[in-house]
Amino acid sequence: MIVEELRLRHWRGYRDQRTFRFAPGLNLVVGPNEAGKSTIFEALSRALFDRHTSRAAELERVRPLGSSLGPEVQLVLRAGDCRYRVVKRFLESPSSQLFVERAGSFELDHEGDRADAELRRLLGGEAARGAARPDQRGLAQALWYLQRDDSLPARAWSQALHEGLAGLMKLSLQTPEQESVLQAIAEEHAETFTRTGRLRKGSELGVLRADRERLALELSARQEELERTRAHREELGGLAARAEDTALGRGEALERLERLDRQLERAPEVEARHRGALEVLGEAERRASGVRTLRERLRRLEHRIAEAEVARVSAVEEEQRLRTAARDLRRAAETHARRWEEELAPKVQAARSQIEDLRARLRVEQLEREESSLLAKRERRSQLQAEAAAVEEQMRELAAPDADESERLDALAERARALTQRVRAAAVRVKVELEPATDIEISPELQRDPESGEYLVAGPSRFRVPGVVEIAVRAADESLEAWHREASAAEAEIRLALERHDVEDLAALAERRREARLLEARLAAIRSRWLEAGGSVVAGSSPSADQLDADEREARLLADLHAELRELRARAPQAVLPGIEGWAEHRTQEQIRALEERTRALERSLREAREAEQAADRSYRQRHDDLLRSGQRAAGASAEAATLGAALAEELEPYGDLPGLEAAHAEVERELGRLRGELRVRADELEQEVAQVRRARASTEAELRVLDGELRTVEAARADRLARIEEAAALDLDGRVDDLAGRLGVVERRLEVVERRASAARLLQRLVDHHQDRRARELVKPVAELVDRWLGHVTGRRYQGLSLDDKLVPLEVRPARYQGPLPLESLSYGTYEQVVVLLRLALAALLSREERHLVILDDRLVNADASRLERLCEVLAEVASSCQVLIATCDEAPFRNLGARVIRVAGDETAEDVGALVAGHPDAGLV
Amino acid sequence: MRLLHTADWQLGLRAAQVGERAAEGRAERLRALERTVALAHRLEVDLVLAAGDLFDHHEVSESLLREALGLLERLAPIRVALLPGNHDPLVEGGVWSRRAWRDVGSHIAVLDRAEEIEILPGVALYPCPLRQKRSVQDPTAWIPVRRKDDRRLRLGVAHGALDSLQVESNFPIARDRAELCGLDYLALGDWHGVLIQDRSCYPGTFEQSAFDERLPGYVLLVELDQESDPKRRQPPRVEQHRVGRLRWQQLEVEVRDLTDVERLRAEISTLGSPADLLLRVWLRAEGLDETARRALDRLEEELERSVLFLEWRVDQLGLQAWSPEDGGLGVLADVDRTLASLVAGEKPSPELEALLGDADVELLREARLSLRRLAARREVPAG
Repeated sequence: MIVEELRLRHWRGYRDQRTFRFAPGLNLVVGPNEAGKSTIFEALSRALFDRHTSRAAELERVRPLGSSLGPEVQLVLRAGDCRYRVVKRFLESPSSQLFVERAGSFELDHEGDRADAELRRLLGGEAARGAARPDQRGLAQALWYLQRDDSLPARAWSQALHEGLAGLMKLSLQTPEQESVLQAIAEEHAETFTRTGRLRKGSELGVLRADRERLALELSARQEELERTRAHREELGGLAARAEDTALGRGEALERLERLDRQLERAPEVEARHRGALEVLGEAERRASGVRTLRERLRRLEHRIAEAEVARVSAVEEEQRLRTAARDLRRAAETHARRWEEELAPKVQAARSQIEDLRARLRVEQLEREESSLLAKRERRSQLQAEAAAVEEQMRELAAPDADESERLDALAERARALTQRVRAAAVRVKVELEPATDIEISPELQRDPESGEYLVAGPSRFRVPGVVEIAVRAADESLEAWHREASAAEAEIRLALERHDVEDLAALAERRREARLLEARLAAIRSRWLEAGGSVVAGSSPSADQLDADEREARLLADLHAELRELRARAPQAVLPGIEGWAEHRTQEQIRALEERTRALERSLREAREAEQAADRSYRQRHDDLLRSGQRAAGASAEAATLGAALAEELEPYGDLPGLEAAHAEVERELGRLRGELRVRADELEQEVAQVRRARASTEAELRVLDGELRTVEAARADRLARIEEAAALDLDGRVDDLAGRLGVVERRLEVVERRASAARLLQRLVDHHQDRRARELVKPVAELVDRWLGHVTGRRYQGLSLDDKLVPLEVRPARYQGPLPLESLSYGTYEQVVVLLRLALAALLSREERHLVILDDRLVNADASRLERLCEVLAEVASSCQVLIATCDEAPFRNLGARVIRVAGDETAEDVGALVAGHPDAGLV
Repeated sequence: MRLLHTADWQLGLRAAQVGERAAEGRAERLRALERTVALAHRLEVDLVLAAGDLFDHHEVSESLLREALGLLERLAPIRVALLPGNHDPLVEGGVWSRRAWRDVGSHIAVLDRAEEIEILPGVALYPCPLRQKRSVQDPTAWIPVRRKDDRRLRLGVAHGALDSLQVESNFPIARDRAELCGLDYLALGDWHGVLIQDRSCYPGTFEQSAFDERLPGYVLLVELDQESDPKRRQPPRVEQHRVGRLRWQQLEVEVRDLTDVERLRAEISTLGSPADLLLRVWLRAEGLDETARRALDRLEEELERSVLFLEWRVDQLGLQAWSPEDGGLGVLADVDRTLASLVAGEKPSPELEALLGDADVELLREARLSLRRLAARREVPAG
């Protein structure tokens, strides 16, 4: 696509309409800074890529300063074989129209959004929104190098550029059908694999593999079970062999047993012989034992006879000794008896008699003292009785109240006083004043307050003035009357008591009472003395019954006393002899004590003498008993010796005598020796012919038992294995294994197909990727070749070329002088700009092989030195042969020889642009 | 005298090769036994002789064993003699020692001893039971030579390979055993196809069990002359009767165009009911055009649905390359060309080699077929 004409109105500095016309080859837009060169390219870009309805902030800035005018742009383009006219207005009544030239005139083809879309398509623009951005500008991204554009894309040039190049090189750009196949290949690959080549979850391949795994595991488990059954069968083989061996061993053991049983047939005979020998020996043993026992018994008898003899002799001797001892003891006992009978007993008797006398004497003494004391007391009591009678007489004369009455009267007087006071306080007070003074009869008599002259009315009373008036007064409260009555009663009683004791008042009565108490005290003292004199409790002028009893008892006591005195004096007349008068009592007492002491000593001696006698007697009797027993023993021993002797003689009778017995004994022992020898022979015979055979038999039986056990074990094991085999057969393991194997087979066969198909899909996808990469590289190749040639030329062979990635993005330059490549970033800004410009020119040149395309360089060559700029101009000339090139510059001098159409843009923008006709250019010219 | 000679029932033979229909496959052998029983009654035979390998192995399920015994019970009153073979030898804990045998009728005899028995009046049977899976001993060696005065019919029954068969000699049997020992008939088992050699015969397995068996699916009806002088007796008359249902067929075919595909379809249709068919098809396809290829795919799909079992293998021998000029096939043509050259054995570039990894020719072919398949589906004009 190339642009032929551009008209602007209401666009930044271009308030009025301006028209620019462009040559199909090289065009120079010349003007100073801020003259509006870039505005032309901006208008071009927005006309082709922006939606007319856009209200982007950038568009707002497009309005002429201070105006609200809608910016307008008109374009005439040539693309393919067609010419188009574009008319767009932004912001104010926005519109978009696309005209196509048909038969020499423009016809409206599309309007509005449709027109916008068609325009974008012309250069392969990509998105409606933000379409004027370099990366959305399609081919123009590379071909138009505007101010503020990034020098290179971040990752890749637009798809339109790639497609454009590829299409030109007849390399790719698949038809939709091929696209669809590639898509199908990708889908088939994606059915099984993820983008990173991993197995996709839930893919058939994954599911089949899992199924195979599961089935194989299960099958293996079942097969193991089957194997176990086979192993059981193998074991059964071994067990059968073992059973056979065991049975063989058992047969042999049975044979051996039979042989041994045959040998044992002679056993009863051998045993009988042995038993016979044993019996004969037993008999001989018994006989020998009889002889031995007899010998033994005879020896014991002899011994016992000897013992009996010794005992007899000993008993006789003992008897003798005992007899002597008994006699001595008898004598000693008799001596003792004599002593206490003749000597000690009279002495004791005499002492006791003396003591009795002395005690009687003492008693008499005591009785006499008691007698005189009793008589003295009787005298004193008589006196005291007379005194008491006198006092009692005085008290009777005094006639004083007793203590109780006195107390009662005091209490009564106190009560009367209290009541009287209460009555006086509570009584109705009546005062009568009559004029003239007249006597008043008051009934009953009333007490009158001497001070106030008021009558105290305590009960119903009458005041009567005869012939005048009679007034009845009574207290309102009945208790007053009760108190008054009670006080009156108490006073009456006190008066009666006073009259009774014949006294004037209570004080006199109290005096009398005090005198009575003095008399009572005197009487009490007399009584005390009375009691001391042995009187009874009550003592008065007349003797009481108690007193009479006491007197009687006293008289009886005196009588008893006299009687005892008489008795004592009669029993021991010497005691009362005048000759012994004057014996002090204590001497008598001492005498008695001495006598008693002596008596006790005598009695002790007597007791000892008696005990000695008794002991001697007991010893005697004991010795006597011993003597008797000893005699009996001696007699017994003699008798036993005689019996034993008789028995001995009897036992010995068959043998004659003792030597005969000894000879018989020797014979028996010899016989025994012989029989024992014979028994040993029989025992050996029994051992060899019976016992050993029996042991062998028992051992064989034990062996048989072991073998039977072994057989049972083996049979049990066989039964067990057979049961397990039957059990496994019942489970149809084999069928299950077969079924599992079948299912596994199905899965495996399917897996094989799917696996093969998945592998094929993966391989196919890899190959597709590989070839697509290769194609991309092929796309890069011509671009790189062109850039290399130009770069070498422009830099004077300083750099040999530029390396591009498969997205046509430069990576590094290859300098001529250095071995390795240099990263783009290491270049100077000027060189870097030149590399970028050359790359864009190369892309444009290649893209324009079939159709001329517009290349724009907005002031991008300012950093090139003169010589490089000159060579760049040569390149531009080459490019312009196939492309429309628009170069914005402040300085046209370096491009002067290029034969470019020059479009001048003045700073003030008042005139139409001025085109300079450059020789040789057919389309150049002023508009 | 008429006897039915059968062998190699291989009951319990695994049928995993028919995939999910394995149980059906196993049951089919019981159905063959059922048909054999019916045939025995129909032919009014006096004796059924089963010459070994009646069970494929000792692990046969209890239910299968009881079902088989139930069928044998139905043979009564015909005498039945069963011989253990090398698949089901007489071993402790083997199929012959199962409890199920205790309940079988008295007409059934398990030939568990190598000793003469009078199986029917005037008929002496010399059984040669096997007690292990392999041996180089002739199991018939013990059979005594006919005494001059012995005028009975003398039958041998054994399991092994007649040494005339020149197969690996597991239980080899002297080819002239019958003549040597004066046997009127030697009933053999082990060989899975019908084989009649004078008086020594194999009936083969009564239900085919593999693709490579010849003449399987039969039992033999044997009629014996009871002429009292053995020397004047006619040789036994042997007749084949089919009891098998399944057919195992293997086809190896070259396919170049649609006509070949149709021919193949016709050939398969002659093989009988698809439900009884286990089919193995090995194809060599060369330069097939799209139509033929699609027809071939359809045939495979149909067979997959109809036959009991299908093994389908296609060796793609060649595909026409896409021309780089036609239709602007772009990358697709590049890929196709690369695959074609690799299949043809061209050495890949190092870059390609790394990409291919361990892909073999088969995979390359498959990838190319996939490409063509996907292209065909998207209606891309193929070369």
